[in-house]
Amino acid sequence: MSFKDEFKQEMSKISPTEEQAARIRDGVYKRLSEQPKPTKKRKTPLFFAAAVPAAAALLGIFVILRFSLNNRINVNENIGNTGNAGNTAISDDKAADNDTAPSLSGQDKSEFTSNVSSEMLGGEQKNDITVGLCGTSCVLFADGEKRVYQLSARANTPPEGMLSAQTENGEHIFVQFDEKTLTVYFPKNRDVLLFKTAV
Amino acid sequence: MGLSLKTADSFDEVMRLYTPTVYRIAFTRLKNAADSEDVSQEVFLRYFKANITFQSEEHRKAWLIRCAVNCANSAAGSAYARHKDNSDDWEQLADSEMLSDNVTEENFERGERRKTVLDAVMSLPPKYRTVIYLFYFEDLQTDEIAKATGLRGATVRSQLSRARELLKKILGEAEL
Repeated sequence: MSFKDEFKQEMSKISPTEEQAARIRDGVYKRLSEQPKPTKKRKTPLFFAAAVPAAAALLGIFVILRFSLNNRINVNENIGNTGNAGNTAISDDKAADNDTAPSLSGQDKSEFTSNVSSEMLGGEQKNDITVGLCGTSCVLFADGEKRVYQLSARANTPPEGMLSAQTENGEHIFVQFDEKTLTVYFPKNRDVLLFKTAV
Repeated sequence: MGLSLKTADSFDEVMRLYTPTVYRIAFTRLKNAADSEDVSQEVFLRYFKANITFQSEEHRKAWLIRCAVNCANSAAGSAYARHKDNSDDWEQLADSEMLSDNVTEENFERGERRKTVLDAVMSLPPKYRTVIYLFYFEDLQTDEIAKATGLRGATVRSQLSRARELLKKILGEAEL
C-alpha cells in the first residue's frame, strides 16, 4: 500500500463523529441565532482625546499672541519713546487701510526721515502747544484750549505745514490739527499718528 | 448561475458535505478534537455571514479550505493554544482499534503501521502537515494549495519537498 493510500485511509478515520458533527452544526446555528452584540465603540484614549484639541487650542493661542504682541510691541516702542503711556495697541491693518499713506520700510523710511527737517514741516514754533498721550487718547492744549482726540490710524508720511510742539514730557514733536483731526509726528522714532476728535 | 446558499437546507447540505474536510484541516493543524470543533464552527459561521456567490463547487471548496487554514492558524497562534498541553488525539484512534475486542494479529499490525504513518505526518512542523494533507488527502495540485493557503506556488512546492524528505527519514521509505 502506498503512502498516499495509507495516509488517506488513516486520515479518513480522523473525521467528526455524528455527535461532533451535531455539536458543530448546533453551535453554528446557536451563534447565528444570537443577536449580534452591539459593538462597543472603542473609546479613544483620554490622552489622545484631550491632546488634539488642547494642542490645537494652544497653537491658536500662540499664533494670536504672537501677532498681537508683535503689533503691541511695535506700537509700544513708538509711543513709549514719546514718554507717554505705552499700552496703546494700533493695528497694522489700520495703517494699511490708510490709502494715502504709502508703506515705508527699511531704507525708504530712513531716507525719508533724513530729509525731513523742522523747516520742511513748517517749523513755526508754538511752544504753547502741548500734547498729552494717554492710551489711545490724545489731549491737545493749544492757545488755552483743550481738545481731546482718539487715535484712529498710523501714517508713514507727515503732512507739510506742521507746527512745532512738545509733549507733556518735553519731547519735541510736530503737530497739525483742526477741529476734527490731529496729526502728530514724532521725529525721534519717525512715527506719524492720526487722531480724530473724540465722539 | 452562482451557487449562493442562503436557505437553511442548503446551508445544512454544505455543512454536511464539508464538515469532515474542515475538521480534518483543523485537526491536522491543532491535533486536538475540541479545538477542531471550534474551528469548524467558526469556518461555517464565516461562510454563512460572508454570503458569497460561488461560481462552482470547487470554488466553494477552495474558499472553505482557505478559511479553515486561516482559522486553524489563528487558533494555533492564540495564547490558549500556545500554553495548553496538546494531547495527541489521533493516537487514540489506533489505540482504540488495537484495544477493541476483535483485535487480531493482522489488525494489530495494521494499527501499528497506521499509527506510524500518522505519527510521522503529525510530527512534522505545522506548515508541512497542512501541505501534506492537502496534497495527499484532498488531491490538490500545488497551485491549488497555494491559492488555498495564500502561499506562493514555489513555497508550496518547497514545503512539500521538505516534508517528503522528513517523512522519508522517519518512515524509511524510498518513495512517497
